[in-house]
Amino acid sequence: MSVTLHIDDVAVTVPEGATILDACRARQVDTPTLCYLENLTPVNVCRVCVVELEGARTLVPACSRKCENGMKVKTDSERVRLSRRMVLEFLASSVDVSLADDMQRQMQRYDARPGRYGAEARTVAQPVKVDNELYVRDYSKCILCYKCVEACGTDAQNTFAIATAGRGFAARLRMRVLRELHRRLSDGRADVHFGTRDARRGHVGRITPCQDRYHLRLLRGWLHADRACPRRRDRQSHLADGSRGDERPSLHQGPLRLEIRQTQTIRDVVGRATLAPNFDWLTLLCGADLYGRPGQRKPEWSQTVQFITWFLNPPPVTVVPTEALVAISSVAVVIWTGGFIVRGWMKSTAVALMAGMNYLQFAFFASVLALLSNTLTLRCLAVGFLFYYGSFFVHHSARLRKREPEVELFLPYLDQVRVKGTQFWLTLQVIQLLPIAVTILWPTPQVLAWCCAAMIFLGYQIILAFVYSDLFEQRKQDVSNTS
Amino acid sequence: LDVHYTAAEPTDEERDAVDALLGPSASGWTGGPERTVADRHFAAGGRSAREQRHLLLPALHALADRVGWVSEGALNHICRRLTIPPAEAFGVASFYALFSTKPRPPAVVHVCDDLACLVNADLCGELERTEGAAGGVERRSGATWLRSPCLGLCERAPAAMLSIAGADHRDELIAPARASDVVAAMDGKRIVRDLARTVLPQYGDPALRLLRRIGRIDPASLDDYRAAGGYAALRRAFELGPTGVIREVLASKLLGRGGAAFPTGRKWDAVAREPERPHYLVCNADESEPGTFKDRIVMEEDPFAVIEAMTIAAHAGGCEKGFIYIRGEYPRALAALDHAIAESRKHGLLGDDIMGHGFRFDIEIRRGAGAYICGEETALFNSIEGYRGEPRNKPPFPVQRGLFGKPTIVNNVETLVNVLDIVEHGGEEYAKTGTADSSGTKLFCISGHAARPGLYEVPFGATLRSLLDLAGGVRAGKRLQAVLLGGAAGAFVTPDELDTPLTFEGVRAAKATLGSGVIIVFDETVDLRAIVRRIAAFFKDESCGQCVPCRVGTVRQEELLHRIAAGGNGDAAATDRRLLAEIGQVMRDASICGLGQTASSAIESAFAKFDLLGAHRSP
Repeated sequence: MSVTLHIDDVAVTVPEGATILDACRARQVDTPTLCYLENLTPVNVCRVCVVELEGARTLVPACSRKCENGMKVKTDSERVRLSRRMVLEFLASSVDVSLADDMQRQMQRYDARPGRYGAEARTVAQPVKVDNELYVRDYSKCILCYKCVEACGTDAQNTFAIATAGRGFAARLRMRVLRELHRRLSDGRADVHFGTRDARRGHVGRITPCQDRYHLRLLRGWLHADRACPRRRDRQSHLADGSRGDERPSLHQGPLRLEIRQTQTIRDVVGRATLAPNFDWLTLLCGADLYGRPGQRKPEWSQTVQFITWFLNPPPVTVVPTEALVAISSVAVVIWTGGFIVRGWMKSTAVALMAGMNYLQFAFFASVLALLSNTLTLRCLAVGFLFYYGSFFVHHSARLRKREPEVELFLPYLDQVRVKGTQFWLTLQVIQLLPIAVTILWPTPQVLAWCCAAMIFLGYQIILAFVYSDLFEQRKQDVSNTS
Repeated sequence: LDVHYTAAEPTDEERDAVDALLGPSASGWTGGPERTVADRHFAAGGRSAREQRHLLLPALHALADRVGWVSEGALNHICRRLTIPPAEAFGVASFYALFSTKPRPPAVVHVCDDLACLVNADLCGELERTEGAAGGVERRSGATWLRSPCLGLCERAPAAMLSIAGADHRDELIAPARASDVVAAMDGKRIVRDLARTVLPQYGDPALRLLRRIGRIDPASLDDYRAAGGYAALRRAFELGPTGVIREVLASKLLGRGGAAFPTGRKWDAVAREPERPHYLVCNADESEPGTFKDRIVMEEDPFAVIEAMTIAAHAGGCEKGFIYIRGEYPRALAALDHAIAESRKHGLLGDDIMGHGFRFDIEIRRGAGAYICGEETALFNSIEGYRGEPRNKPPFPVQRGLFGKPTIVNNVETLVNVLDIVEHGGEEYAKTGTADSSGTKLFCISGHAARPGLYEVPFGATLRSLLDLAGGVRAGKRLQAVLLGGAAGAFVTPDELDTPLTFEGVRAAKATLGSGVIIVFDETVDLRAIVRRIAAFFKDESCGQCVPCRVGTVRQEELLHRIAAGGNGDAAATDRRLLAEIGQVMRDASICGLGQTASSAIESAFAKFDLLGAHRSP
């Protein structure tokens, strides 16, 4: 049996039981969804997929409305566009959706302007909850798509550990099951092994702990494409209790072990789709966290592909005036000091070298400022500099070692210090490379600006050490001359 | 079904309260004192566990009635007894306004600050000055007061409800209430202002149909009800048979009185034709629309009529089980219905063999717990089933998949009571009253600044002006400023539009709605902007939070109204007005249920018909 309906005046035939969304996708009509996932029961709460159905008083959700013969659906009418825009605005004005790339794209498409509600608009923001080793909760990123509730409930896990509590705007997801676990962890009654075990080989490996994963996510290093640990995908975690016999498996009694079993089932149940547009609210060691996209087994080079994807998709940037100011003033100081060095202490090659480096540094940060709006360029540039500096050091290290076997420093608190030339240059090099590395990992002007500030401080210390050691030497000579 | 608990244990009192409702536990798995050898051969899960879930709401009520709040240990006990996942049980407990998941004193006075009470007296403001902020317990131990949405006592506004938890739990209505009454209630003094009976303004009018018995009979007496013509309709229904009854109801063109105006006969017919069994009947007595009190008066004063009408509906639709979902703020109606159901069972009018016709039907009462959204039919089903009162998506409609996923007839109290006349005198006869498209009579709840507020019954087609005249016009010779027709989900009507005929089609033409028959009268002294803001706050508080347009839209709407109130009349105000209209449209177009879809209608009508941008001009 099949049904025929009209989508934007084009007849579409779909099998009976298909939803309007299925029909739209069959027609290649780009329909945004947030709370929809192929393998979960539609909850149709986000209302971003609404379409106009002829004869219906209100708009209907495409993700759950079944197709009927003779339906006339409009997917891009003024009403539909307004509703989608407003829903995106509502979410973006109340939730931190900065990590939800697809949603950002939809917001651009529908011209959503969440700023319209003013600065006093209420948000769901609250501090990140990191209170245990098992899960991290960032409620300010939760759009209440119910996917974790569904997956934890009858759609996959049948664990029912996550449920909505409260009402209206105050509604939040609550997790009940792990609270006791947390309590037991904190008073030493339970122990967590972040281990993985392959059912066939009995291999025990290590998976990335939750908090690390959370921070990787913030750095966008943890891709939606791979929610499981990078090495071994398709795992289902299991909270198993060690107790046996007539005792009910309970969280109160017995030693507790967190075991991650490798299984195929979870992939079969929910695969082939990214879990959530903004799932970053919850980094959790349970099945809900492990659904991957796509479901097919990935070839071994997938990590390289992942790295390239990650590298080519830096986060969007917002220029904050304060930080930009800090960066600019840092550069100004670098110019000023650099000039000093070149004018006064050109006598040794090493110092000249350092001056040159400072100028390179300056050039680097200047380009940072010039390219503030494009983080991808920034990241590429940083990589370029990394290679340039690296080759510079490799090239000249032998010469430096020969020419300056020892460097005399006059450090503020340690008096005169004599260090090996290589060590000194290595330290200097590492300090120089630090902001570049940070830039690659996290190409935002804010981070960079504060790195600049830190660099200036360190650079000053080094320069002063040089200056004072020279002055000290000079004074010693003066004293011996006069005597 | 995995269920995990925290270590918290209930107190003896909490355990008693729950076990008094649920009976002793069957095994050690479901909260029994210890596990025995026999328990190893016992499984609590699957179907038997799911079939208990609907007892969650009554169990939470039992706790709240005994100890005043729902502690973690007590919730664990309920979860163990009913095998409900604790996370979900907490989700349900935190959904309802009348339950507190934080410690609360046993005595709580819920003080109404909704529209009808607000225009009569600023009770809450006065209490805040003398007693401190709502919910505070600094002043006295053992009692507190809380702000509440409409308590459904609007004809005697301002209103308050005292509820005292304990072994001798009681809920008392105080109306009209003064601040001193609330303070006295908190001090534990008995309030004498608790009026025993409703006084009907139209008492004695021979034209009354639905209200004809009210005030004339003792609501607790089945004999009185029978003597006043009761149970004649049921007898006639048995003569007609289910198809005959449906034919009469179809002929009567009865439309649902809950607000959606769906033809009742078609609903019953659809359920009767559904092959899936069992069928359920639900009487929606969760009237929480601000300004509505009609169902309360019918239930308090004529409870047997509700039960008889439900029996007729069940007979027509082939239902064996009926539920009355009554809002938690109606203690007196609850008691009246409870008594009436017990009486009916005793006299064979409910049970296995009703009136000797072999028809089996019984009614169970479910108390709501302070959630406006549970008046939405699918949210009501979820609430009865023990889930959060969040509306379901339609289709499928309740006639196909309603309560417990089975075909369900769900009707408002007023709609059901209309059926008695239809069955007794025939549908054709009934349809002669009213207009062609809106047959019969309609109950109107007049409150606010009317001279004689109260419940009125008039045939469809009467104008708003004639109804206001019936209620004595505006109180104290003031000029009429506006009428809110249909409640918070309705629309404002200007004095120029008073000649609108009160029919479903008539008010639709005037871009208003009859809703649940609310008529709140505002005289010239009222600042409509404050009224509009209260309506916005009401929807913000009552949104269930499931879908984005309503969850965020209601909040943004309220914020915007405050911004408009603070701003002037310039360009910014015009931009804000456009934004307000857009918020209204997305809520109307994209919300799941009627709450979100109507959350902006009164506000938009107020902005369209009155100048709310400038400062309020008091005469």
